[in-house]
Amino acid sequence: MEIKNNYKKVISLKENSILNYNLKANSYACLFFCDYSGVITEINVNLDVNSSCELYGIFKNTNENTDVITNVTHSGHNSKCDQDFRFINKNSISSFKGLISVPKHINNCESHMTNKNLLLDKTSQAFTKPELDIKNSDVICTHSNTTGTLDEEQIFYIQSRGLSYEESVNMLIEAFYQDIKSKMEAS
Amino acid sequence: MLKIKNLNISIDNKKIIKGLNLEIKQGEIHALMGPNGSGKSTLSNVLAGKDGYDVTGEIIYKGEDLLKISIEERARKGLFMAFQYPIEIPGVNTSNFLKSSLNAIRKSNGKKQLDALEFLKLIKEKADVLNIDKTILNRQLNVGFSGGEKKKNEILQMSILEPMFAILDETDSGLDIDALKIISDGINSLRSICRSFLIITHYQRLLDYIKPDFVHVLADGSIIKTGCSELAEELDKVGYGNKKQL
Repeated sequence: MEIKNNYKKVISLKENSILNYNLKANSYACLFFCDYSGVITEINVNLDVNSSCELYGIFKNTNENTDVITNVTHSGHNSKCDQDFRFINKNSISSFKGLISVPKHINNCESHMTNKNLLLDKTSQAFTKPELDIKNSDVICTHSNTTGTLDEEQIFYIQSRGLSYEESVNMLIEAFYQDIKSKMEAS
Repeated sequence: MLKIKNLNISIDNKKIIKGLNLEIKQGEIHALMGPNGSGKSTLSNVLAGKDGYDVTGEIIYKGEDLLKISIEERARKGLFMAFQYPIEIPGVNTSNFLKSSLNAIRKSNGKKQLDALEFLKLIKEKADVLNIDKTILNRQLNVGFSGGEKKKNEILQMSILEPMFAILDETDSGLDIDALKIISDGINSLRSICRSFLIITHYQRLLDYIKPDFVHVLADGSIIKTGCSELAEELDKVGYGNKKQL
């Protein structure tokens, strides 16, 4: 789809999908991917001059495999993109593959990619593959990935204040994506 | 309130607490002093229900076998531990955490849960009494808190949860004089005939502000001496190394 002005949307998908977003000059898009799992989503973003895009994902997987692929191409000068995808896996496998491309003749772009994974049990896995294809030195680009499990010390602290193990775990899961959730509430 | 009989605690086959006996009655304040590595924190962790220890012996809390009660049930039955190192939990709002905690405890005791407004009123009231900066309430739980703020937050939690039995695990460590004063005032304000305290500390300093009924010296896993508050002053002079003089 073409985006010309401001575009904000929360997206939930039931089947494998390829989504194309073409941001025209000076446009802005903020997309939240959540409330679905078990499917493959490919998100292609093309950014024209002065356009800016935010991509956020929260995936709670239970007994499911979820794949997210993002391809962000900076086709115009001064374009910006922030992406942050979180996976919470319970007996599930997630895969995140992100590619940021900045061609040689495109200047002053900024692009950030974050992927965080929380594994709730030993059968869960998270695969992550960040790729930066940068042909121009006049850019700011970052990527970061973390994968971890719940912290027993944190669970003990919460339980010692009267909450059950399950309530403590749920509190920590919510804390894991709290910052994205508050962005969703604010948008 | 609490009766510990012949308690042995070990971690990975290493004995930490060796045949400890202790009885704390309702309304009493007991101070437990001892050098590093004497087993003070191990004891408080086991009382709060932390996993990973081999425990034998008996701990009776309000007539029940404490070792058979889950961590959260202990809290709901009025047991509270102020952590030596309060845990940082990013993404959890301090005020919301306290509200969830209070309501979980109230619910299990058949009391009405507080709504957002009632809770706000309560927490502001308590923070004012304790002279605690209210901005910490809107921050993430213990994240980026100074040492003093973390300890004040523990005391604030205690004052809101109003436990029957409170364990203060080195709450005075790492505090400046002003913070120590605020924290001991907080503890003193909660002193009551129905509430008991076990105060674990290295130094006599805290006991200048909070007068305990009994002082115990823990060394090498068992209590080697029990006395009244003068014992703490004596310890301050002779040190822990000189056990014979005690």
